[in-house]
Amino acid sequence: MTDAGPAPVPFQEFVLKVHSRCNLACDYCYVYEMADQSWARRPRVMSAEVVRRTGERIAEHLRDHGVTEASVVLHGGEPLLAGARRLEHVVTELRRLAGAGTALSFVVQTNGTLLDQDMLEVFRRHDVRVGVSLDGDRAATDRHRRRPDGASSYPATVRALDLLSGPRYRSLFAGLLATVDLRTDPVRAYEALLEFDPPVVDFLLPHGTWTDPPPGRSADPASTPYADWLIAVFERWYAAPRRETGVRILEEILVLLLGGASRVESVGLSPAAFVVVETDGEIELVDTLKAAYPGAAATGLTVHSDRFDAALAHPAVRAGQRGVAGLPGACRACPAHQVCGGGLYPHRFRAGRGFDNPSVYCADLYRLIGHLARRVAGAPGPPPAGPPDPATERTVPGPAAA
Amino acid sequence: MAERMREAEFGSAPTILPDQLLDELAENGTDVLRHVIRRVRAEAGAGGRIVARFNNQNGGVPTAPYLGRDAPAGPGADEAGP
Ligand code: SF4
Repeated sequence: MTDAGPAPVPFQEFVLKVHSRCNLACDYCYVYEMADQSWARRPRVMSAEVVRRTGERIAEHLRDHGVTEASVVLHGGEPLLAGARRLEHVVTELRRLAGAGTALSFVVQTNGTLLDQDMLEVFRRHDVRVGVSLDGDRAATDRHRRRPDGASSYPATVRALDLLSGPRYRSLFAGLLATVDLRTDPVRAYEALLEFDPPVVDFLLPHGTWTDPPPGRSADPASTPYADWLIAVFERWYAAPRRETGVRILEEILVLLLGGASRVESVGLSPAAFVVVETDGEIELVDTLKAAYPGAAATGLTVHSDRFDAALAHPAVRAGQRGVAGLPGACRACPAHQVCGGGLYPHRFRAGRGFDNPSVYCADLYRLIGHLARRVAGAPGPPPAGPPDPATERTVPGPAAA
Repeated sequence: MAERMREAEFGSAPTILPDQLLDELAENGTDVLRHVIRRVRAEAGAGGRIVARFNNQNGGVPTAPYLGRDAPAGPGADEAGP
């Protein structure tokens, strides 16, 4: 395939699905509850052989591209189901294979229910940072993040967070991740997370596409419930006399508005440079694509027979590395595109049209960005024009005129 | 190499504020804003970043947080990485 775009940016973040199952049954989970059901055919745990092969491929990729620093995300399912010893093996084996000249940093993202002192001691020994998913207070968390028998996961997660935020493990605490639910009070959710004194929190938009829209997201571009929710958090966070924590999505937008580059794939135009390895060694794309349609994340590649370079050539990876040129036409005409970046790639999907659409969250993103821009500049007034109407690709009035 | 690639291919996002106002906000803005301005300036000084950090929208499962190896130092920079 020929591609006139910029040279590929090597992968610098490797997401390892060390365990393919979860001990919770969260109803919004893209792995289990959405279009793609490939988890059901995968081995539960990543075997030592797949770990070794993955480590060799990572080392090869970094060496070939002259990259000396990269990160590995221990992911799932629920990665802690793999057990402390197996996780320790993954970390030591990958570092050994990467060699002394390459710095591999590790982070594990967990629901926290299995995070105990034994596990934390292993993470402390190997400098593995820990991010925990929690939606706010108990009511907000119980709405979605329940165990398969319906029991609450909240008490176990809180126990883990008390340990993680204590003096012995505090340096490992990477942050809290919450998924937005419009029924939850935004400020209460934010303040409930603040109680654990996290170094950063992030609010994730629930998965959805134009074909299967997120809850409460109508086709009416004048309706912006998710922007309104996040703006409430923004006002609480931004106006605090001292910065209590980072709020990732909001901070990234501010950085972009001030001319910086985003660190996340959900906003901005920084080239995406990560890849996923499943428990069986298959190489996949951003796994949230699984919310779009079955097999959307598949590449047909595996660490057993393919180099990561082969995944770099995949059209979806290329689209994520082409900056403005990789955006849908409607986004390129939008005055917010440098900051918005068309939102998260999977959120652009529409059956029959693929990903060549603005985000299903277009109206929310536009309003949120406009609000932050005006707050930072301290001046009222909208950006010069509105976002393209995603349905017709006509330009519609911006947030202030809506 | 990576920094040069970013410069060449992506340019930088437009800054909505003139430098003078930015200077003023760096002094007198909210604590959050002063933190962000420090980060932008530190990253610009270091040649910018090229990697979009993985922001796996989870919903039940994982999302990688910041790794922040090259985050700005100073007060409030503790959301950054190891
Ligand atoms: S058209 Fe919508 S999704 Fe696209 S860049 Fe503009 S605000 Fe973002």
